[in-house]
Amino acid sequence: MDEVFAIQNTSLLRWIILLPLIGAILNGLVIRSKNVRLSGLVATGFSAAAFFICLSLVNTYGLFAEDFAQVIDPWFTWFSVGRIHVPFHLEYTPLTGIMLLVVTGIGTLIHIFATGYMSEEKSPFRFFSYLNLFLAAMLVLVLSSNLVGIFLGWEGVGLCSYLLIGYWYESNENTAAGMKAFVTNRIGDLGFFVALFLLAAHAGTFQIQELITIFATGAAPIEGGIILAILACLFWASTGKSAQIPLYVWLPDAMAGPTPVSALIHAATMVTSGIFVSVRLWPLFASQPSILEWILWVGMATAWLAALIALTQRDIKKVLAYSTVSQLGFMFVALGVGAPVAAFFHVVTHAFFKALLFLGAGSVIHGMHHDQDMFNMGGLRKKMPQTHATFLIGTLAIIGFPLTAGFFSKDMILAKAYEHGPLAWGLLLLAAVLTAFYMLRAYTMTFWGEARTEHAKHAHESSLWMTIPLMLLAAGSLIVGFMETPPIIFDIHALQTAIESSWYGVSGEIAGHSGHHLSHATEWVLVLITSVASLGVAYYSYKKFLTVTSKESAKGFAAELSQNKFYVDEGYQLIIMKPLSAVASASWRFLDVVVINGFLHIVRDGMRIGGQVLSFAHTGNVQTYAWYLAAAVATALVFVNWVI
Amino acid sequence: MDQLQLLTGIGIAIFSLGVLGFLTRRSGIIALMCLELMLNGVNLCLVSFSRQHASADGSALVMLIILVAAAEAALALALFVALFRQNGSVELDDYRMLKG
Amino acid sequence: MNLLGLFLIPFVAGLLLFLFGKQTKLAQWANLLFHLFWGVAVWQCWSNFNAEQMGEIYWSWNWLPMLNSKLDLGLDGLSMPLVILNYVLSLLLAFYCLGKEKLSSSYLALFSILNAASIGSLISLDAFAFYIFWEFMLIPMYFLIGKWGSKNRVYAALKFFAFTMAGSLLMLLAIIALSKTYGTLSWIELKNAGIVYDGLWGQTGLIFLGFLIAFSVKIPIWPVHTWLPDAHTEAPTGASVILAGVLLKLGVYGIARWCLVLFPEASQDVSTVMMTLGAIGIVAGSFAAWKQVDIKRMIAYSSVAHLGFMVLGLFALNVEALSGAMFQNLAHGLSTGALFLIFGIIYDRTHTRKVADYGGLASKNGLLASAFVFSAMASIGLPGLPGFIGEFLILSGTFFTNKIFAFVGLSGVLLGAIYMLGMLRKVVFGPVGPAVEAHPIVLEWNEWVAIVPLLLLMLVLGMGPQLILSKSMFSTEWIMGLF
Repeated sequence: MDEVFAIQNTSLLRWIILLPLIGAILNGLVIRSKNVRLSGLVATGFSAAAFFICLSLVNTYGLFAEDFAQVIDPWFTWFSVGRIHVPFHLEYTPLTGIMLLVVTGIGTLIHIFATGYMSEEKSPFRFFSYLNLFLAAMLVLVLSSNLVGIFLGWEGVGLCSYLLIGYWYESNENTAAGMKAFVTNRIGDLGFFVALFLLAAHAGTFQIQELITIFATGAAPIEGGIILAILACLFWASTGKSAQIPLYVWLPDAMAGPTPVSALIHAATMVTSGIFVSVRLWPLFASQPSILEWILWVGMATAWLAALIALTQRDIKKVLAYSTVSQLGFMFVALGVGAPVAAFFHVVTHAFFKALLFLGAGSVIHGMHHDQDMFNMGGLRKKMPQTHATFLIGTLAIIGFPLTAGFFSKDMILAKAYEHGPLAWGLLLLAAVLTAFYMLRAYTMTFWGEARTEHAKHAHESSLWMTIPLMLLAAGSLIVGFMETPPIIFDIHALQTAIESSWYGVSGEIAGHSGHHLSHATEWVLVLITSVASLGVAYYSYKKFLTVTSKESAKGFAAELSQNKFYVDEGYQLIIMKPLSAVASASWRFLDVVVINGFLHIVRDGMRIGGQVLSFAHTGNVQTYAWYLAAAVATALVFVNWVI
Repeated sequence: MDQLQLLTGIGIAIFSLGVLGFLTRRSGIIALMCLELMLNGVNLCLVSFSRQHASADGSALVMLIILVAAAEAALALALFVALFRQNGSVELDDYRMLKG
Repeated sequence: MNLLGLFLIPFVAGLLLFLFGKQTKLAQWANLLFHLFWGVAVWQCWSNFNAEQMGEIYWSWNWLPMLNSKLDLGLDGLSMPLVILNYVLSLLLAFYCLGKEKLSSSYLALFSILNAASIGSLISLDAFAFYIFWEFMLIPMYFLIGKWGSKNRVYAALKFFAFTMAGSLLMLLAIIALSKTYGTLSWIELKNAGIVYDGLWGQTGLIFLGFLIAFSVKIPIWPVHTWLPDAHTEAPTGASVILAGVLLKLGVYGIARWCLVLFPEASQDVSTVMMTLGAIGIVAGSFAAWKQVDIKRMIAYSSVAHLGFMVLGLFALNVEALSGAMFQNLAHGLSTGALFLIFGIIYDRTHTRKVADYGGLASKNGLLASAFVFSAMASIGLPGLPGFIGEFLILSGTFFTNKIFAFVGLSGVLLGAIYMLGMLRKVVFGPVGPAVEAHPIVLEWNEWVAIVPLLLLMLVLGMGPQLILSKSMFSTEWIMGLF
C-alpha cells in the first residue's frame, strides 16, 4: 500500500471544538444573563467563529480535490494502557469538511433563530450554554480520528440531547422524554462498547485510518467474522443514535424539547451521526456485503413504519419527527445498496430542508401561541407569508420536486436502489410517495383552508431573527443539491470525488460486486416515474386536506394503528420494562433483604439466643459454682488417672 | 493398714465431709464452717504426706494454710455480718446478684 | 520522604482536637490548620515520590520481633493515588464542616484519627502493621456513625463493625500463619521468599483465603455487601464521603497488594469465581439501586455496583483491567464522594432522604442541581469524565479474559443510566416537592469550596487520565509481570 498522502499538522482543528466549549462555559457559568439577545448573541458568536474556521480550513485544504492531503491535529494522548492506546487526535478529510460546514453553518443559523424563538425564556443562558455544548460535542464526533474519540462525541451529544429535551424540566413529561432518549441511546451505545472491545482485542487500534488501510484491504490477518461482528455492533449503535428500528422510539418523544433543539439535534446533526460514521468507515462495510443486506432491510422497514405513522399525526412536530425517522431510513437503505455517496448526500440535503421545516414549524407554533395541533391551524399562508414560502420550499424539497436539493439526493438513492434490485426500488418509491402524502397533508392543513381557531385567526409573522434563517435555509435547500447531479442532468460529481478521496486511497467498491450502471434511458424513466408519482400524490393530498375541519380525525382500524404508533412503546413497556422492573424488585427484596440480611439476622439472633441459653449456667448462687468446680476437678482427676 | 494410711484416710474423709457440706448446706455460716473443714482435711493429709516423705515441706505448707485460713475466716465472717445487717439473712440462696 | 509525618500529623491532630471540648468553632478552624500541615507532608511525599519502584521501605522500626513484624513504611505507584485522594477528600470535608454546630470537636478528632489509620494502612509494607491500622479504622468509624448518624445509626454502626471485624479476624489468622511459616511479615521479603502454592485448600491457599475474605467484606463484594447500604445511609455526610471515597478503596488496594502479589497462583484459581461475584454484584447492586426510595441508600447501592466493576478489573488478570480498577478507585471516590457531599448539603437543610419529598431542585438552586447532575453523569461513566476511562479499561480487560463477564458488566452501564437518571428525574427535575419548597437551599461559601474542586478534578481526570495512568503504569505492569 503506497502512501500517496502528505500529512499536514495543524493546531487549528482544536479551536473548532474549543470555541463553542468556551461559549458554553461563558454563557452558563460566567455571564449567566437573563437577557435572551445577549445570551443568544454570545452563543451565536462562538458558533459562527467555529463556522469561519471551518470555512478557512476548507479554503486552505480543499474539498473536492482528487489527491487529498490529510490534515491532522495531534492534540494529546487521552489514555494509553497495555494493548489499549487512545490518542485524542483530530482529523480533517473532505468528508469531515463537508460535515463540519453543515454542522457549524446550520448550527449558527439555528442559534440565530433560537435568539428570536426563545424570547420569553426566563433563564436563556442555560439554553444557549447547552446549545454550544452540544455543538462542541458534535464537532468532537466529526473531527475525531479514532473511534473512542468519536464515542466521546457520541455520548456527549446524547448528554446534551437529554439536557435539551428536558429543558423545560418543570413538567414530568419533558424529563421523561429526556430520560427515554438517554436510556434508549445507551442501549445502542452498548453495541459501540462491544465494537470497541473487539477492536482492542483483535485489531489493536481504534484509528479510522489504520482500520481502513490495514483491515479493509486485508493487509493484516483478521477474521472476516470479527469485522462483521464489529460492524454489526456499530450498526446497533446507529439504530439508537440514528433512530432506526428497534431503538427509534425516543425521537418522537424528543419533540417535547424546544423547537430549535428539534431542528438542530434531531434533524440536522446528531441523528445523522450513525450514517456519518458508517460513511467514514465505508471500506470496512464494503468488505462485508452481508451486513449491507441487513442494513438495507432495517432501513427500509423503518422508512415504511415511520411514514405510516406520520400519515395520521395531529401534532406538526410529530409529523416532522416521524418524517425524520423515515428519511434516516432512506439513508440507511442507501448504505445498504452500496451507495455511501448517496447516503451522505441525503444527509446534507436533509439537514437543510428538515432544519428548515422544523424551524418553520417553530415559527408557526410561535405564531399560534404554542398550539401544535394542525387541526387547529389553517389559512396561515396569509398571516405568515415568509414562513409559508420557506415551508413550501422545504416541503417541495423533501418530496423531491424537480431540481430541489431533495430531488437530487432522493433520486440518487432510488437510482442506486434500482441498481441493487427492483424490489428495493419499488418499496422505496412507495415510501417516497407516502412522504409526499403526509408532507402535503401537513403543509395544507397548516397553511391553506380557513383558519379553524382563534389562535389561527390572530396569528402573525415572526420576527426577523426567525425569518432570515428560514430564508437562508430555503436558499440552501434549493442550491445544495447541485453538488452531485446524475449523468442526465448536468453530471456533477463533486461530492463523490470528495467522499472517495476521504478513504485514504482505499476504494469503496463492494467486495465481489460488479456494479452495473444504468443507461441514460433507464435513468430518465426512473426520474419520470418518481416525479409523476410523488407530485401526483402530493396534489391529491393537497386537494383532500384543503377542506378539513378541526373535529375530523381519520377513522378505521388502520388509522387507529397508525395514530397510536402501532403500539410499539406500549409493547416495549409490556415486554421489556415491566418484567425488568419486576426482576429488579425481586432481586432486591428477595435476595438482599430476605436471603442475605435474613441470614445475617438469623446469625445475630442465634448468637443472642445462644448467649441467653448459656447464661442459665450463671445462677448467681455460690454453691452452684462450687458444684461446677467439684465436677471439673473430678473430671480432671478421672481424665488424668484413667484416660491418659 | 498402717498409721499413715489411716491418717490420710481420715484427712480425705474430713475433706469430703467438708465438700459435701459446702455444696448442700443452706446457711452461709455453716458453709463457711464446711470450708474450714475442707481446709483442715487437707492439712491432715499434708501432715501425713510430710511424715511419709520424711520432709518438712508438707508441714510448712500446713502452717501457711492455717495462717491463710484464719485470715480468710475472719474476713468472710465480717462480710457475712455486714450482709446480715443489710439484708437480714445469711442464706446463700438469697444472694443471686451475679445471675444472668 | 517523611512518611512518619504523613501518619503522625493527623493522629496527633486528632488527639489535640479532643482537647477543644465545647469550642466547636475554634476546633473547626484548628482542623483546617492541621490539614495545612498535613498538606505540606503530602506535598513533600509527592515531590519525592518515585513511581519506578515497588515496595521500597523509607522508614522502619523493629517493634515486634517476637511476631517477626516491623513497622515498615513505604509509598509506591499503588498507594500514592489513594493517599492523595484521602487527603483531598479530607481537606474538602474540613471546609464543609465549618459553621456546623453539630460537628463538634470530638467529631473532628475522630475523623482525624480515622484519616491517620487509613493513611497508616496505605503506607504499611508489613502485614501486621497493615492489620493494626486496618482494624484501627473501625473504631472511629463506629463512633462517627453511632453518635452522629441518623435514626437507625446504632444498628448500622454495629453491623459495620461486626461484619468487617469478622472478616478481618480471618486475616489475622492468616498473618499469624505467615509469620510462623516464613519468619517475616515484610511485604517485599514475603514476595521475594517465593511463597509455595499447594492448592487452594492447602496451607498457603487458606492464608490467601483469609486475606481475600477480609478484603471482600471491605470492598464489599456480593454477597457480603449488606453492611454498606446501612452504614452509608445512616452515617453523617462526612463519614459517608470518606467511607465511599477511601475506605472501600482500601479493600481493592488490599487485594492488589497482598493477594495478587503474594499469591498469584491462588488468585488465578479463584479468578473465575471472583469475577462471577463481581458481575453479580454489578447487576444486583444496580437492581437494588433502581428500587430504592431513600436517596442515600440508592447512592450506596450504586457504590456496590461500581465496586463490582473493580472486582472484575482485579481478577481479569491483565494490565488493562488492573489499571482500570486502580484508576476507577480514584474516579469512583471522586464521583460518589461528590454525590454524597452534595446530597448531604441538601439533607442538612431538609432532613429527609425520601425521594417522594423531593422534586424540582433545579428550580430553586440551578447551580447545585447542575453539580448534582454532573456528579451523576460522572458516576454512570459518561465519556469526558473519569468513570468512563475506568469502566472502559476494566471492561476491555475483562473482555480479553472472558467475554461473558464483559457483557454482564455492560448491562451495569445501562442499568446505571436507568437508576441514576430516574433518581435525577424525581429529585432534581419535575415540579417542586414539599421538602424543597419548605426549606430554602442556599449554600454557604465553604460548602461551595468543598464541592467545586471535586467537580474540577473529575473534569481534569476525565480528559487527562494519562497524568495518573502514567504514574501507576509501573506498578500495574510489575504486578502483572508476576503472573
